Order: sequence, then C-alpha cells, then structure tokens
Amino acid sequence: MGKIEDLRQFAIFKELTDIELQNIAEIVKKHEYPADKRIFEEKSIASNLYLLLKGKVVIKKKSDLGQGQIIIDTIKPGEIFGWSSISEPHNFTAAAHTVEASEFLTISSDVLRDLFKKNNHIGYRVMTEIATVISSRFRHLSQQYANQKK
Amino acid sequence: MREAKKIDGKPVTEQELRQFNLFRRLTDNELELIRVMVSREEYQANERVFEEKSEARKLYLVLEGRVSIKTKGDFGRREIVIDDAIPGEIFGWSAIAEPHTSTATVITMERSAFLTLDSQTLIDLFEKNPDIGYKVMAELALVISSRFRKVIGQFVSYI
Repeated sequence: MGKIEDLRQFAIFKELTDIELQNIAEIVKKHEYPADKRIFEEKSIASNLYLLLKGKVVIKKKSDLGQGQIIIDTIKPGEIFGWSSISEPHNFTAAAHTVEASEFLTISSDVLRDLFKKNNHIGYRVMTEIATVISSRFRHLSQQYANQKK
Repeated sequence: MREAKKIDGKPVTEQELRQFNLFRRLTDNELELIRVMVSREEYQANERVFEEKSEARKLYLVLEGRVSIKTKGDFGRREIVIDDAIPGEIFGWSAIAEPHTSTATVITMERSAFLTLDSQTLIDLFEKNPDIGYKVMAELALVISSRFRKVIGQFVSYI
C-alpha cells in the first residue's frame, strides 16, 4: 500500500480528491531498484503501470539495423512509464532500465481498470492525464524522428 | 489554409459515428449526446487543415478521403510525414489533451470529408458525464499509443 503524499507528486492524479487518492494508494506496490538494473524488457507482457518516485529511468529500444539501442525517453520523479499496460496489445514497446538507484510504484493494469469502471470520475480524470502524457511523449518522439531524418 | 466549408442540412447519423472506435464503448443513449454536437466539413485535396503548434480546438473524424500528418521537428526546416489518417480514424486529438496545441500539421491528400467536434463542448460533456469521458479517453489513449508505436517503428528502422 502506498501513501497519499507520494501519489500527490504525480500529475496523472492531480484532479483526484483525497478519498479517490486513497483508493489508488490501496492498490499500489512500492519497489526499490539499484542503478543499471532492468525493470522490463521490450516485447514482454505489460501488466503494470509504473510511477517513478525517486531516481532516473531510461526507456530504450533496439535499432532494427543492429546498431545498439536508442534512448526514446528519460523518466524523472513524478512521471509515469509502462503505459503499454493500459493499451492493447499489452506488450511493452521498449525496455526500461534504472540509471540511478530508483524507487517506484506499480499498479496492476487489471486492478486499475476495475477501479476505473467502478468509479468513472477517477477513470475519466486519470485516463485524461494518461492520454496527455502519451500525447506529450508522441510529440517528443516525432520531433526526435524529424531531427534525425535531416 | 482556408476556413473549412461547413456542410449544413445533412444530419450526422449514429451509423456514421459507429464506424469510429473512439465511440465503441458508448451506449446508444451516450452516442446520441455526442451525435447532436457533431458538424461536417469538407476539404479539397492538398489543403492544410491545421498547422503544427497552432491552438487545437477541434477533434476530427475522417469520413472520406485521406490526410497526411507531418512535423517539422525542432529545427523547423522541412516537414516529414509521420502518419496518415483514413476513414474510421481520427486526428487532432490535441484538442482534448493538454496543452491543447497541435503536435503536427495536417494536409489533405485527396478530397476529404470530416466530422468535427468542438473540444470545449466535448470536454463539458465529459465533465457532466464522466462515464462517457472515461470511455472516450480510454479509447483516445489507445489511438495515441498506437500512433506512438508506429512512429517508434519508423524511427528504429531508420537509425
């Protein structure tokens, strides 16, 4: 179980009331990882959403041409990753590794989906923020791609 | 870019809206609340529908035709195609996701017909009916993440 104060630092929960945050706190699990440790692999089954509390995580993807890995994104405290867990086909698009010793929360996507169905206010608020996060990452990725193509 | 030609007098039908996955979780009654807000617009080929970084006010649903979705990147020199949208697909999602600024430029590749939804009217509906809001935003998250996967695929095949 997590703490409401920890959850408050995440923009995806910014519109939730204390009672709603308590519902979320009851379904999160806390993890601590050392630096340079793999959190999940590309193409593995995505069943958890991740919320970074402390440290730094990079999201990497293998190049098709076999020239190593591309860093797609760097996650800082207060940000989420692993959102493939809430979108079909529920396989991670990329791998996640810690850069520094990190603490993060995980939420089972099945449990989260059940909560959203039971409480549509939480569902609407959180899903709107998640869509905003994905949209912002999409913008960032498109620009990286456009810059590389020059 | 010019003002889109608004088509009046032809009501939007439930059947037209049902072809969009964005609304697939809605009941008939919920879809009716959306239907009454929808407008029609038509564009000729090679017209700019909106520009990257402009204020995003409308969500677009493609009924006919095809559009190309482009970005200039940080240096702003040359537009590259990042995706397209065909009938049954949507674009302009920045209208309902903060900061409400278009992530890309959209240009028609052929004569095209769209259904459009004013973002503020739609957000007001979601605020009053969070169940509709949840169902539509969950589908929107799927649309954006699927586009994200597509761009990642293009990116890694290029590097």
